[in-house]
Amino acid sequence: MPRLSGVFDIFADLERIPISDIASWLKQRGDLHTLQNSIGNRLLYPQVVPLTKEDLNIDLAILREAVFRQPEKIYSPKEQKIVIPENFLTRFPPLINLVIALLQALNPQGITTLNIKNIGVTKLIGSSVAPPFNGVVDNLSLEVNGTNIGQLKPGGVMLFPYKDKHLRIKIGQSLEGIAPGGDLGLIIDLRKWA
Amino acid sequence: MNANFRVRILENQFVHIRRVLPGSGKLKAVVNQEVMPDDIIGSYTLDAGYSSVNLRRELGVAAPEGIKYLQVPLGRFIYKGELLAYKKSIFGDKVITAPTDGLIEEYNPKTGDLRLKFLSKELPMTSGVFGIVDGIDQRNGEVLVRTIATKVYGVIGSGRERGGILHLIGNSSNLVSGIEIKEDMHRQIIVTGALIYGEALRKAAVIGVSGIISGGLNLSDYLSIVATLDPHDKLGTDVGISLMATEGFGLIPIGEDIFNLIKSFNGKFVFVNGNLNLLLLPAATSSSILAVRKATLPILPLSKSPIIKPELRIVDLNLGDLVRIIWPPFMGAQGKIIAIDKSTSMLESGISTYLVAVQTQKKMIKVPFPNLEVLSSHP
Repeated sequence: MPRLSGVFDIFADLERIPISDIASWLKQRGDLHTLQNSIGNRLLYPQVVPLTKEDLNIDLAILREAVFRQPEKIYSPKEQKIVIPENFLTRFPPLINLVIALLQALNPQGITTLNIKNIGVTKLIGSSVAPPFNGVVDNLSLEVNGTNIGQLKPGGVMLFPYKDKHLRIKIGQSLEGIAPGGDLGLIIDLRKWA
Repeated sequence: MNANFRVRILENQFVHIRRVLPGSGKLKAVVNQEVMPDDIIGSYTLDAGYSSVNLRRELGVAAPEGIKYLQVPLGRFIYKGELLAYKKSIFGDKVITAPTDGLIEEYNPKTGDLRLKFLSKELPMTSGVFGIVDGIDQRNGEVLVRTIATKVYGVIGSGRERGGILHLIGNSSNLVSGIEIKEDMHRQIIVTGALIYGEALRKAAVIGVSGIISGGLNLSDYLSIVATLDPHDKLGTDVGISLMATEGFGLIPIGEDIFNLIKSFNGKFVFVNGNLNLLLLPAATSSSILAVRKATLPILPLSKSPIIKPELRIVDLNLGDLVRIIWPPFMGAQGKIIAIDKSTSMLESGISTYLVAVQTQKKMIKVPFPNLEVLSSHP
């Protein structure tokens, strides 16, 4: 019999994930019982929407762990492509926070396109660029289409709202290539450079 | 705008209940026998167990000295309430009476523990319900009785079907700790309110409580019993006690619909099957036997319970629907829909959704529509 379900339906065996693995994604865990019970209720009632930011953070932690365990549901390393189901957008707002959560779970290296899929139609919304880290923090100046944008700060994730579909980018001596922009833009992921 | 429709109560259903001898014994019932709740359908021997009294602590003496104060020698029988140990003191005499009938078996001079072995007892097993015996399994000590009962469905649970006298500890929002679990709850099905703490669960299991009905359970306690949240893995778990939560995880009062019904069964014989999240409330009137006579039910192997749970289904949300809130705050509250917004609102989480006004007994609450389940639709 059909029943309403939730955004986590694309992930199999969510019930088998240890709660501690989900909790490990949270910076502020608060009372352990409350957190555990909240995660348990999320599995019982997958269709509910979080009211508070704390509830949303727990949902994002579940999402990260689910994506970490089953990356193939949204990520193709061969095509260097992340495809986000459209219903994630309204369920995990804002879009940039959702994308960062997915990048934290997937840790894609190099240039990865970011896309949104809705009933067979896939729309490009930007890209994530994670230059390979060789163990030495050297020149991290960003050039886009030949223009020097400035020095990047290692350790974080930055968003540049470029809409162009073909951006020639260069990050120091570490990475050079074509990365698409879009409604979201260009994300530079330097977490590994911290 | 849709929501899940959940069946929580099914009234007056023909069901089979299983009565199982708790120890070795003999069944007296015969197939097609009509039974009443107090009818004895078998008898069993309650095997010996142990109880202990710490004389060092109770008398305030050194452990090796404790035995000097025993009033009945080791190896002798003593009956509940008889004088077991006595110490005269200027600050008031210390008197210890036997907590149970038993044999004074052993004293440990290192710890001060005095061990009493329970006497074996022959006890009757009653039917517990008005019904007709449809099956007997002497080897497993099981009787299958056809009866009429109201089915109450919870959302999580564990344990095979067990029967017992329903005992309400307090109101629907009670928090139950170990101190409220008493020895006389042995073989009862207790209704705890919004939450039962882990230590109380453990104490209930030790005492031999048959079942626990609660609004919520802490996830950690639940996992310590069933090991997994996967419903396929947990099917058939049993740790010697059956439990069922009607609402979910955490501190959640038992919903009004279920609590109001359960209240009227306080002190009556009921059954809980935690693995099916099912509480059975047998009809308490002798006239129900008339309907039971006319009913037929498929007779399945006695040791197997049919796994039938009502599934959720999607329904439209309408004004007047009776709904249940399924997310904090106000999780478990019930009320009627009195208004449905025509435009979306932004929640603190940043999610935009339609809000629904629900009138509960105490107040009006606005709730995002996905956070509701329908309990009964307004025509």
